[in-house]
Amino acid sequence: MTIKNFAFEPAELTIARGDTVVWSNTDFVPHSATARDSAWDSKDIAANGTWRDVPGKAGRYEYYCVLHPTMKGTIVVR
Amino acid sequence: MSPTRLTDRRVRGALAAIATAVALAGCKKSENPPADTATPAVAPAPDTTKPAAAASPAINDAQIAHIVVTANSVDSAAGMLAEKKGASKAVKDFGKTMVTDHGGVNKQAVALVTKLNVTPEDNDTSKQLKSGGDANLAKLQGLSGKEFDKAYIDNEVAYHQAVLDAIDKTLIPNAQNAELKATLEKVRPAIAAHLDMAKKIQSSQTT
Repeated sequence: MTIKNFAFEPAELTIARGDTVVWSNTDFVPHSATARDSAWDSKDIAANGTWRDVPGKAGRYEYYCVLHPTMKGTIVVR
Repeated sequence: MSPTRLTDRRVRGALAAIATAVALAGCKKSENPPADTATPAVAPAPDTTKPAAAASPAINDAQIAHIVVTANSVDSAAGMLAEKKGASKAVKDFGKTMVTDHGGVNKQAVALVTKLNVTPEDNDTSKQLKSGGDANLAKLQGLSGKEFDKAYIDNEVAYHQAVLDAIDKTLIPNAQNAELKATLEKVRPAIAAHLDMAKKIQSSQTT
């Protein structure tokens, strides 16, 4: 996952259970990837920083950036 | 050739729109007259909001760099105040994000001018941004509660809109150095996101 120009790319990503997702922040400012249901929360991902997670349960996870709530994304775990 | 003389004059007219918009936002609530100490450059002139900025002004990279740093600092200062004085969590959080983000952008801008060995050049637009920002702070200092939140967010909406317009119509088109241009293009989404965020808070405020 790339965080670029205040957007998550791709906006929706489908993975298999057990896959590792890495968010890579290419912006000048910190962002977060925070699940709406609080299943996971990266907290601040620094500028040029990364965060990885292995979503454990199948499902559709909508997430957003706490710092910039207009940024939204979805991870689908099969 | 020496572009400085010419550009210094033109930049005034071209970018005055930013300062005007900011000043207007600051004066919007007419029942609260802005501090008389505000510099005369920004206080009056409510009749010149025409978007004349599109008319290809000339402005040099050193001036663009100065405007970027000034614009960031002005909004950081307001954000710090909102973090402290904001009544709602949304406004406090927004203020905090402004401090963080504009700090991040400025770090990048300073790194770039250092790398390019450019000395940011003060200019009328920077001066107007600074005095407009100071007038806004002075006004906000006197407010509290919902009044503070509304005045702060109203100004943030107008400010980010004006800065976005300036980036699109003036700063990016006139930037000569490719890295400076790229930096401006990378800053743009931040300003656009801030504008959306501020608008969202604004619409939740107006009953």
